[in-house]
Amino acid sequence: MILRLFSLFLSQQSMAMRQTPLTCSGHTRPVVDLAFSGITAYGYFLISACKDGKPMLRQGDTGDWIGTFLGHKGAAWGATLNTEATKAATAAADFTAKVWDAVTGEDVLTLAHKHIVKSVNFTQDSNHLLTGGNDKLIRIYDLSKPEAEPQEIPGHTSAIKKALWCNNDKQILSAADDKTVRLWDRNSTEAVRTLSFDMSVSSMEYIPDGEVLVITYGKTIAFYNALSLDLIKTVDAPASIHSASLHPDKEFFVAGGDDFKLYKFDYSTKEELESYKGHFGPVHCVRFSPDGELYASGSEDGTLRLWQTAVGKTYGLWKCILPAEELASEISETPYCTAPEIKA
Amino acid sequence: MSNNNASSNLVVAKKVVKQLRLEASVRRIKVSQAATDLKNFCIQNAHKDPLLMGVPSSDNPFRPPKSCTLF
Repeated sequence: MILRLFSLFLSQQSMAMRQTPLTCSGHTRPVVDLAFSGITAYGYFLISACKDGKPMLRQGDTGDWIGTFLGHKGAAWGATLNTEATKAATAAADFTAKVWDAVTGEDVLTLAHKHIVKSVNFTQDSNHLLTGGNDKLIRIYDLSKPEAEPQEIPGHTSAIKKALWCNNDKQILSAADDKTVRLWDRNSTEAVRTLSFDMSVSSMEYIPDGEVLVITYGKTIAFYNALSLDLIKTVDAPASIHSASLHPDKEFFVAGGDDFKLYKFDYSTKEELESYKGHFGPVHCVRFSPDGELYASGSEDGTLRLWQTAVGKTYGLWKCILPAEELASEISETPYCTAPEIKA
Repeated sequence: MSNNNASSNLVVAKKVVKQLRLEASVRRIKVSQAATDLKNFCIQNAHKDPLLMGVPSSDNPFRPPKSCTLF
């Protein structure tokens, strides 16, 4: 297994810290989507959607498998958790979106659609679910009245890849294969703003704190103001990018794509800081944890990997052990602080 | 005939329930805990591991044979 580039720390004896990702196996097909919950009394959680149709719930800081949601009859394309990690929602190729009790794993609600569902998103109060998929319609379901017909928002001329609540759940952002990203008003259901691109948008992330929208297309990661859809900046990566995520403190962002690597960039200077090898297939999704201490990546190789934001820090299963102490102490997932090795 | 089907379905269902009960009662621990336990076991028992420490020649059934002569 090949690993990463070394990063040098400024200290008297420059020490190189090796990034040791936590590899979470279990899925048998490519992992296409992942989402974190908020920080709860039990820590935070991670849900991954996989083409094997069996989304999994994991402990967010360790990657420990908690449970698998069984019920979908087709590939799961999207998965999300509500803030308290009490409910989960998944979007699948069996033309349904399902809502689950994340504590018991039970299938609570099945919402039939007319085509493959790609995206699901809860409102902050978990009372409404937004769905979007290949039928080109954005749907809003009231979870307290599940038998009622959902509110439908037409407009996109091609399959919807992602639909997210924004601006305190008053507006909706959607990205579709028609190469547009649209901002909709929830009440009027009208498109307030539209962004057009030369190519299909591969992913979209919304950061409520600061109202930032992260969009990836081709080799570019673009940052927009989520309220006005004004462009903040664009950054180009060495390879085609499938997904990117901005750190909660907005100091850096990570991106992954076709070349199997994870890239870390400085948000202000746009400089590429580090890149990590590890996955055996294209990276489909990458997200920062709610506390920003780690980021998770899902790949075509069927694994999720958890990467440390601050390599060498003691957090979760990672424990920094200096060479002298190595033999005496208990070894966990250690990023070994080795003698400086500089890779060109 | 329908009587036979009904009773065999019941037998099958009972077996399934019994199996599920067995599976549900299995002791489970977190993957990270299992990984730590495995690592610790390997490290603590490394000195007894013939693959790491080597096997004394006298015990080794695959030692290079000393030549035999027949008189």
